[in-house]
Amino acid sequence: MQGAAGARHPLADVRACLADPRRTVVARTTAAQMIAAHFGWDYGGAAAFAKEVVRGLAEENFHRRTTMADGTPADEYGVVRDGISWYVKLFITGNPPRLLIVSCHLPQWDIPTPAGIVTCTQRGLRKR
Amino acid sequence: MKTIDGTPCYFCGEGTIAPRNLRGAVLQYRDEREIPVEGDVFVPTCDVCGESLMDEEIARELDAVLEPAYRRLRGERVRDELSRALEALEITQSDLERLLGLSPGYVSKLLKGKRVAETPLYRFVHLLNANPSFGLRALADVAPINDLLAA
Repeated sequence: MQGAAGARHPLADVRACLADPRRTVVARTTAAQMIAAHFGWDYGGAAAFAKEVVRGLAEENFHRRTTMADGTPADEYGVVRDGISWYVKLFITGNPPRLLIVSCHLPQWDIPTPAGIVTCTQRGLRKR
Repeated sequence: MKTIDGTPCYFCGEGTIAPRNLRGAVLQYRDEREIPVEGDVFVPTCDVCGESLMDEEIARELDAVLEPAYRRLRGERVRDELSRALEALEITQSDLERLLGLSPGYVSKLLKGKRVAETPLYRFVHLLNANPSFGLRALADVAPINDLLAA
């Protein structure tokens, strides 16, 4: 986790976007497609799942700030849902604001969060 | 989705995200690596890195185009795998059902396209076809199929 800085995009704003289907988009290859491959679901089911994972995020799941390739600031989270670890990256952009779920997939490394370490080996959450 | 149109790509920082017709593209879909997009569907997509953005409406439209191709190709691939296994092992459909622990008549339904095989079965038969005689001997360790070994 980098420094003490919190999320750039408050979760209250994230949930406000989630409440309006037109204000939430999901990246195909790094979110919907990876969920779809994991569960064997279609894109609609995978996108809905990504939104549910994001809807369930709490501040204690925050990992660090990051930036997209074009410089857009984003936030990274790690969370365990039903015993499965998930890595999430998201940002809010535009006016009216839109939530973009950049990533939602199994983590490729252990993710330190205030709640504990979200393990990439699917052992769930390990308290530090 | 009209909200993202001509936006610089967040993912690669080089291209532009704009609605593009994915007809002709080959996408990973469900648990298949390659399913062709056989209809018109306009999805905001980067012209450089190919990343796409989907809201609920776009996801439904993409599913509507991909699902028929997925079911058709999965059926064809399963039928091919089952036929290869039957031929390589020189056994009957009933024998193959015993070998795989399937209900009587299930292989026939799969071969006729009346059922779509579950992914574990599809992948297992694919694995079996990698070395059918080895697979048969290995399965005989855990399944009552010794008569198939003797044949």
